[in-house]
Amino acid sequence: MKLLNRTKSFLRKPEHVILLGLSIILVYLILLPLVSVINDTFLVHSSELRRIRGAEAGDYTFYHWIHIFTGKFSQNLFYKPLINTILVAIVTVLISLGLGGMFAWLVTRTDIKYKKIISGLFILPYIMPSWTLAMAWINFFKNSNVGGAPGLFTALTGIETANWFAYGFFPITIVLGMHYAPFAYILIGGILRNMDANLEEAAQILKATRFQILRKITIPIVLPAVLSTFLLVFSSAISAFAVPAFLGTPVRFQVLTTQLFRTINGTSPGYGYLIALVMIIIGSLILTINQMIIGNRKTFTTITGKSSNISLVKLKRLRNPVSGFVMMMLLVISIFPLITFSIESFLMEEGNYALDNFTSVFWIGEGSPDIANGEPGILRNKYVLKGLWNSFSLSVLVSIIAGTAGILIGYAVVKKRGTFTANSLDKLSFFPYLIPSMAFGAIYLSMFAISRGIIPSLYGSFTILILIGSVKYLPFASRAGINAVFQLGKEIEEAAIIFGVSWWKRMALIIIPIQKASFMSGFLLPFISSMRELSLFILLVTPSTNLLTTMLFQYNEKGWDQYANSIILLIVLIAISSTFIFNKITGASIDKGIGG
Amino acid sequence: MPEIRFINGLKKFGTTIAVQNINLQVKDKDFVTLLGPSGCGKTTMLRMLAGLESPSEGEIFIDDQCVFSSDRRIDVSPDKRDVGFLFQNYALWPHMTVYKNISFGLENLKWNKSKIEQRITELLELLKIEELVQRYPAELSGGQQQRVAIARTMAPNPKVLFMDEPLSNLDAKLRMEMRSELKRLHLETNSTFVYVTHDQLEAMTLSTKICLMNEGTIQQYAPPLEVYNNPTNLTVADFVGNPTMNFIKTKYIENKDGIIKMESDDLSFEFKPNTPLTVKIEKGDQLVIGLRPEHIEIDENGSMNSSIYSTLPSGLETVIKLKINNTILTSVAFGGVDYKVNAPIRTHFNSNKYILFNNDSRENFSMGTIIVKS
Repeated sequence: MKLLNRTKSFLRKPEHVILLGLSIILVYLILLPLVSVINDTFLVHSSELRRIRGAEAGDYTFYHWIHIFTGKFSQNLFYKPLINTILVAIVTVLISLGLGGMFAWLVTRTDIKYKKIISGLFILPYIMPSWTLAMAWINFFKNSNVGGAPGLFTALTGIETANWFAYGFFPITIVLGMHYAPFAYILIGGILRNMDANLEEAAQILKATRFQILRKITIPIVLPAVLSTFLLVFSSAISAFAVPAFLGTPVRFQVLTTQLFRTINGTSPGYGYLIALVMIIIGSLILTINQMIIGNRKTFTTITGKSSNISLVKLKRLRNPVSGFVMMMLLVISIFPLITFSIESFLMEEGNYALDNFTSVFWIGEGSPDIANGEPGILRNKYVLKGLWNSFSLSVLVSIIAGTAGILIGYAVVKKRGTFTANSLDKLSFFPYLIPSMAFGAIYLSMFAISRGIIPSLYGSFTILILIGSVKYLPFASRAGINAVFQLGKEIEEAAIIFGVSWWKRMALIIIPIQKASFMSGFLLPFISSMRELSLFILLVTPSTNLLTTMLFQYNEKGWDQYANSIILLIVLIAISSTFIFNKITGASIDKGIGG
Repeated sequence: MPEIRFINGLKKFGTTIAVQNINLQVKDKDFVTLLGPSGCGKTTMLRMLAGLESPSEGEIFIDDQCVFSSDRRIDVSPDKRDVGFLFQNYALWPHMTVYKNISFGLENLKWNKSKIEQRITELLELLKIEELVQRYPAELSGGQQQRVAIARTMAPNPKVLFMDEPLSNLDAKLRMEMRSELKRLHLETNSTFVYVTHDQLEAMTLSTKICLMNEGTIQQYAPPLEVYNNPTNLTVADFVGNPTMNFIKTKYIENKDGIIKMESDDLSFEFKPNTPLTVKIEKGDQLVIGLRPEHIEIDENGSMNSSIYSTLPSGLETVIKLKINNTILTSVAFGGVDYKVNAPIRTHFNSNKYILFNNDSRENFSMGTIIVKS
């Protein structure tokens, strides 16, 4: 009786219900699948029966573990891709930190021109899917060595590009580096902008030189943020799939993600699950280190105060050349790819850039048997339109589910701050961030391929895409929610509690309206991310649930480049315009989230 | 008759104890201030009374209704306690106009429209903010926000009003003004106020009773002048009063015919209690004599020789630091007088409100007259 009363009074508080409910759901959707994937690394799968002699499907075996780590093929199967992955990640980080850090410094600390435009344009590569740049690279630099028509560069100059330049390690790191540069730009720029100018001025008054100030004051203060950016970009680069798939496959340059895709889609899913597990462990390690760095940065509390009166470095005679160069570079990164897509998508015969070769058949053509098996132009193609509809409705649903859960988590975690359940929910809701997308897809494939208990088999359903998208992008939303509620302070809500305002009304009329902009970025990021995401969904889609991104990938694999180019243009336009509209309506902006 | 009782209150945050041994009775129409240094648990106590925080142990009664009991597992939510709460940072809803801020709570209590309008007009008039009604909080000055917050809190006519350092964000002049407004409001509304502050002047001037807290326990609960004149222990004596009380550390010599003899480093004292002592003093005990500055008189015919250490005239009064042998004492004189440093001056100890504390237990054990000899 007493217990019943206690439970009743416990559940009367909405924050308790949220904590309990969401914890159960997230344990089911995050922790359980993890167990399932570990289990799968020991299982014999039906497609592996031929190789594992005398075993039945479902038997337990160490076969995968032994073969991946010590077997004859382990070099090609695992170690080489692992080393490739790590090298790619390191170089990517260096490029993006250098580029992003330099831009951040130029914009916040110098009198460079066109600051607003630079800021706006520089975010574009981040809103666009990462492989836009990869495809642009291919459009521009592809050569005929690997087969197919030469790119724009060869067409214009007559110079055949070298293989190392057109494919593999070099372009992958350049493209990924450029893609993540805005991320570094947002993080480092935020610190530079918020750093109290007095800290530097105090040193200046003590007669420190500019270089000394940079070395002894600015860099040490910015360092934790830079380190944290380093690790976040590193872990994102490790889980990148589309770019290495586009640029690496032609020369058989494999990384862990492409290997994961090959094995799970092929005949050895056991290897795939094991690779996924390795990636999860690497991801968790990196993010744990990151947490330790952030947790220790006492310096952070001192980086407040007004910075409006910061003295800018005068570029003097270099002002015009530097401003011009930066603008040029931005146009090359953000606008130029779009131009190549439009050009390529109008070419009848690839590699022929003569004017009479331009056609609109890949956009609005009815389709004729001699072009790509009679595939109609993408704007009349019911599969593409279906993919467009799928992508769009998926993004909207994911955004609504993740965003709402983010608000609830923010509310409950802040309200019960310091308790065990609140801490656990906080950590749990961030955990999907640590899991590389492709590995996460693999996890869900393993977990939901068969029916378990009351949950039917979800493979091939649209529900599984919604589920995985919502969980994967929950970290963005829950961070936004926690920050928003935290900033609000408890008094604002208590002032309404005193009057007996119900919880629903408090949320709807007070908490959400006040922090609208912050909460909305918790909706925006999941939306944009699912719109441009490929690797998370690629293992889970079936022809009926195809998305724009996955179709693009398939067209690309078939070599139907014009279709692929027009689809990517479509995706970029949707992503950019919806970000813009969202920002105008709600005030939410992309640089408020943590990115990924 | 709203009367508030808090019995055997205890509040822990994790393993740290925020407040303990709380026994407090607030009578109807009282204006009680919870006074103490920051971190002493006064805000926690107020929030527990209002129901925003649940005590770990104890019972709370408001108006003879039990609103909290740890044993009986009663925890009435704040809205059912019929109380108002004024927050330190006002907690005005930034997206609502002044009118909406005030009406929101009333609408929620299902008041009808005309009644709400009437009540708001009444409050705006009372607080003199009629012209601000359509503004947003961001467009108001600190003092105006404060008034709006008061209006919002008062709107549903709560029986009890809890206030958490409501004046601490205002500038000195405005604070003075709001103090008298609050005092007037207390009388006009006939309600019970419980008020948290760390400003002893605020507590002295506003309240009918002060509850002085330190390190989570109640030190003294009495009317302001009682707290000022007869502090129960050294902590209270030290906290209340500006300039602070003089403390002279002495060693007990003997108790002869009801007169207590003591010695400091360079002075000797004879203390005569107003009422016979109830406590026994042991030889060698450390005693502290507490002297309020106003009880050290500067008088040409005074019995003690001393010199001026420094003077701080502020116009209305002058704080004078005196030196008797090597002991420095603070005195205060009415009006602006100035003395030269090191000028000789005569002083007088002719009050019967000097207090004797035990240095170990820090307790006040007697009040009386004193004779000082150099």
